[in-house]
Amino acid sequence: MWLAARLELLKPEKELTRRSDELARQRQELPWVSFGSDFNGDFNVWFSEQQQREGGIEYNYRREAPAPSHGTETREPDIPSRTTPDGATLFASMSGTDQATYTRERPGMSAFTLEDGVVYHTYSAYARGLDGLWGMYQWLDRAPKGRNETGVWFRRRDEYTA
Amino acid sequence: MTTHKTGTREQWVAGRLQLLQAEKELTRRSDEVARQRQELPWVRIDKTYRFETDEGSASLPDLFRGRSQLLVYHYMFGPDYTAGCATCSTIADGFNGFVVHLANHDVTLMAVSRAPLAKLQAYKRRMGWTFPWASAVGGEFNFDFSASFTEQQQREGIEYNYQREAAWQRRNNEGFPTRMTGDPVGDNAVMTGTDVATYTRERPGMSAFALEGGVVYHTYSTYARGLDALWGMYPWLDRAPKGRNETGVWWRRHDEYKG
Repeated sequence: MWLAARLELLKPEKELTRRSDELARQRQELPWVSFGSDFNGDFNVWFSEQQQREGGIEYNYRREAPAPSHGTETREPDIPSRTTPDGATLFASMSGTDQATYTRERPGMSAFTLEDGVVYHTYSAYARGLDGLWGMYQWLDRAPKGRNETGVWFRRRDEYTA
Repeated sequence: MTTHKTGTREQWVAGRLQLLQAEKELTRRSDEVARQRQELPWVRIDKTYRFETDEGSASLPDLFRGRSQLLVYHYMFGPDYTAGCATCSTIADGFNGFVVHLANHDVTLMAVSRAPLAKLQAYKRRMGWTFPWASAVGGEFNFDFSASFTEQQQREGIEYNYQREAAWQRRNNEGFPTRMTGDPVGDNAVMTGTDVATYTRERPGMSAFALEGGVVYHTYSTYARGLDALWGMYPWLDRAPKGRNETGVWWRRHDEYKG
């Protein structure tokens, strides 16, 4: 019975792997672009207070609404997993800052290539686009209880009590 | 001047937005497959397995270390290998970093191999790893979960990754998580100080178990390219300008690179 179900599941898994290969191929087809100078700003992982106030944040290829003027409202930050209602507040306090300051920095990855002395920007991903790069989640996706999360369950590696 | 297609920021964004849709669909599909995995029936394990660990002899329930979920990486380190599989080592380099986080989330992630414990311990020290690693030496655990095969099974044709393989013959890509030209299996055999037949009597895989009411259940196993997403460096390469860009085994153990 397990084996029959496992064989059935093997099909969508293989299809997922092939689809993933196909997207990796498509990523390589993006044009290469030479770029400007304000590194973190140019790659949409750092925003000014003014941008944040006025709704000038474009993150993960989407324009965001202005931040609430009072820092009390909790809004889930764009973190790669869909985890938790208390995420923004908790991550901010874990970083020793408030929510507005915390969310002026955002997670992302960018890829570059160097050819004949010219640097080109080739790719960037943000938010859940980082999911596949967040090693522990791929393992949890194969665990009996999956991601099994109702809040932020991780801390810095030296913050766990043994 | 590069021969790759170049463009303006606007052209790049247009292409990127299109790709974003496909990427989001892939993520959602991945979530859906993860959900389906959890729907597999749990299979009760009544057999008694013994392992050698840093803490002494252990049973399968002991390997959970007080948690309710156990993920086993079937690390290819056969009794006759002179060193652990170099390819598995690149996978272990990844999970060695976050085993501590999973341990805080009710999940024990560990490696199990057939080599005697002393060999595993020496190699673990050499690599600077801290994840738990148990020896299944002399037991049937690895064989029962299709991660090790006897010489006789090999001669007659094994069943790996839910597929029956023909009687053993020299092949290049046996059970390999990536699709690669060259001779990855031959290269790996050399790097473990064995021949190809000995090297491929161990195969890569991962298995998941749950412990509930003192009973261990097998919940999931995956092999070959089913490990692709768990091999940390590949999702990064899949976003690099030149992709995986491989014509053969391009990696070594992390202490084997020159300066």
